[in-house]
This record gives sequence, structure tokens and C-alpha cells, in this order.
Amino acid sequence: MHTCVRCKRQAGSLEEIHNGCPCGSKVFIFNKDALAASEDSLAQASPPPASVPQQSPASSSLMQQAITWEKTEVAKTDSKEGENPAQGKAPESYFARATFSTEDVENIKIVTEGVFCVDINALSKNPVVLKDEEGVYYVKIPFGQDKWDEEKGGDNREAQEKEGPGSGKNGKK
Amino acid sequence: MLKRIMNWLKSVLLRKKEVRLGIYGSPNVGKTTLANRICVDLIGEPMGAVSPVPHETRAVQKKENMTLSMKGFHLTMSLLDMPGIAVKVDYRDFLEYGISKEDAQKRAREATRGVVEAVRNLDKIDAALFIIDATEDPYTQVNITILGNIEARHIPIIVVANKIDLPNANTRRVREAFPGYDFVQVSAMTGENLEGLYKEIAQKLA
Repeated sequence: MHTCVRCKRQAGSLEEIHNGCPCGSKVFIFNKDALAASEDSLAQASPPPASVPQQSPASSSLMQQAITWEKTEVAKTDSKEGENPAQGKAPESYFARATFSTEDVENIKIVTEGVFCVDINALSKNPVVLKDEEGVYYVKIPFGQDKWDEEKGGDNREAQEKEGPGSGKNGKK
Repeated sequence: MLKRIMNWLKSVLLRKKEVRLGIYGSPNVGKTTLANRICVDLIGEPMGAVSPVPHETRAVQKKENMTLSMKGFHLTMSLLDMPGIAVKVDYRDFLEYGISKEDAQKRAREATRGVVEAVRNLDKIDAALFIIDATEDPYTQVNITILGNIEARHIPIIVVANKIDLPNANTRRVREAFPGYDFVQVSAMTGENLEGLYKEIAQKLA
């Protein structure tokens, strides 16, 4: 829920946030509590359709716009893919780009321009691998001992201590 | 004093039987060619296939229970040939070798998985041979980052400048790029100075 910092008015649409409040301010703050309250009221009111009006018109409008935008983006990307028969093989579907399977080596996918899908679970264990397009990957090699290394590091250090000299220490001249 | 004796006893009793030696480097620097040389010399059979197409090795290859004996040194080790590490894998790079687009994309996916596997294996090795192509510029992001990673883990490293048989090899540039590391120059292709490498390994790890 975005509210204007000057007049405290709730933004009615994404356009309003973009163009500015009628009071002249262009600064909006995101009010998490108000959104949570709105979502709660939505959840309580969901079974009977008659109770839907309890939700604020602003949040309803925002959500509707977000859903519409998402649908439009999906349609756009799908139509773009369809326009390119020279590619030979069928391009990846929106679903494939927005979800991860066991076959995937990447942990970040570019769903569409500016929209990314992140596999947080894999990121905690592996270096960052970004898939740009089919067959094009970028790898960020962790420098030194990152978090996931440190988790294992405890075990390694223990093992090294057990192994004794000559096995784990750097004998650089 | 007692603590020192206990530590010595621990080190003797719990001493590792086999040293895991990882071969690291960028793609096409000659890691598998060198691994094949070492394996043929020590156990009489090669490690894996080599190819001019980058990322031929896309999974960690391992040969165990190899014994290196040299002038009183005896070292039992397992050799791990790692996939080449790269920060970008692009299927288009494989197309010029006559590979179909579909196969190139598959190769790129496997190669990327290999890079991840190689990086993860940094936690499983006891020592590393870091191979650098002496005909190429050694100041690369991969070389600096991987050497830094190995160093941060306190793993013994030997920097190996490979391809010295080629006329444009510049081993001095490699040595100057990474001073402070044990350094050996070899030709995995012709076998030149392999003795020097074995000597370095034995002195450092046995």
C-alpha cells in the first residue's frame, strides 16, 4: 500500500505513483501494515463474493493492474517467441523460465527484461549462475570463503586438524 | 610440552593416506593433457579425452591410488582433473567447431554444471596444480579468482605454465604475474620437464 508522504492519501493506481499525487508530491512510501491488513481482510472475505467490497478500492485497483501487467507481459513474450520460427526448436515457455527443475544448472533466470527468477535454495549451496538465454550462462565465482564455504569450512577445518601437517597447510616457499 | 607431544602423536596416527591433488585452470589450458601424462607415467592409463573444443571435460574425473616415488619421496595420491573454469559459457563459441546448435546448448549447460562442480570441489582437495597457458595473457579474472580461492583455503598450490613447446610461450610473464607461488614450466603435450613437476610435487606434498 503506497501512501503520499505529504497528504497521506493512498495511491489509487500505479500511474498515480508514477505521475505523482494530486497534491503535488511525487514521494510515496510503502505501508506494509496497511497492505497486510488489506490482505487479511481479503482472506477473510474470500468465500462469499458479497464481502469483497470490504477491500479498499486502492488495493483492489493495484492488484488488478499488477495481474493485468503480468498477463500482458506473458502474452508479449509468448508472441515474440512465436514470431521467430527460424530458431528451429520451440522456445522456452514462460513457465519454464519462471520455475526451476532438477535439470537446471542456473540459480538465476531472466524471465523477461527486468524480471528475474531466483532459486534461493540453490544459491545457498552453489556459486551464482545466471542463465541469459538457452546455452548462455554467467558464473560468479565466489572469492575467498563465502557463506556456503564457511558452513562446510567447520567440517573441513576439523578434518584438516585431524589430518595433521603436510595435508592441508600451504607450504609456500 | 605435553600438548606438543599430543599434537605430534595425532599427526602421526591420523595422517592422511592419500593426497587429493586437483588440477585447476581455465578451459583449453591443457589440464586433461597433463592429467593424462601423469596417469600414464604413474599407472599406465590415461585420464580422459582431450579436444580442441573448449569444455571437453565437463565433469570431475578422478584416478585414485597413484604412487609417486622420487629420490626417497613416496606420495600416494588421487588425481582430480577438474572441468575448465570460466565466468561465461556461451554455446555460440562451440558452433565454429561444427557442433549443431542443440548440441552446443547442451554442451554449454553441462560445461556450466562442470564449472560449479569444480568450484565446489575446492573444499575437497588437499593440494592444487594450477595450470596456465603460457601463450596467453595470465592476468585473467578466472586465474586471479581461483588462485585467491585456493590460497584462502590454505591449500598448497603449484603454478604450472603449460605449452612451453609453442614458440609464443612466455613463461616469464606467468611467473611474474603470480610471484610467491611454487612455479614449474612444462609441456604436457611433449612431456618436457615433467620430471621437474614430479620433483616439485614430491617436495611439496610428500
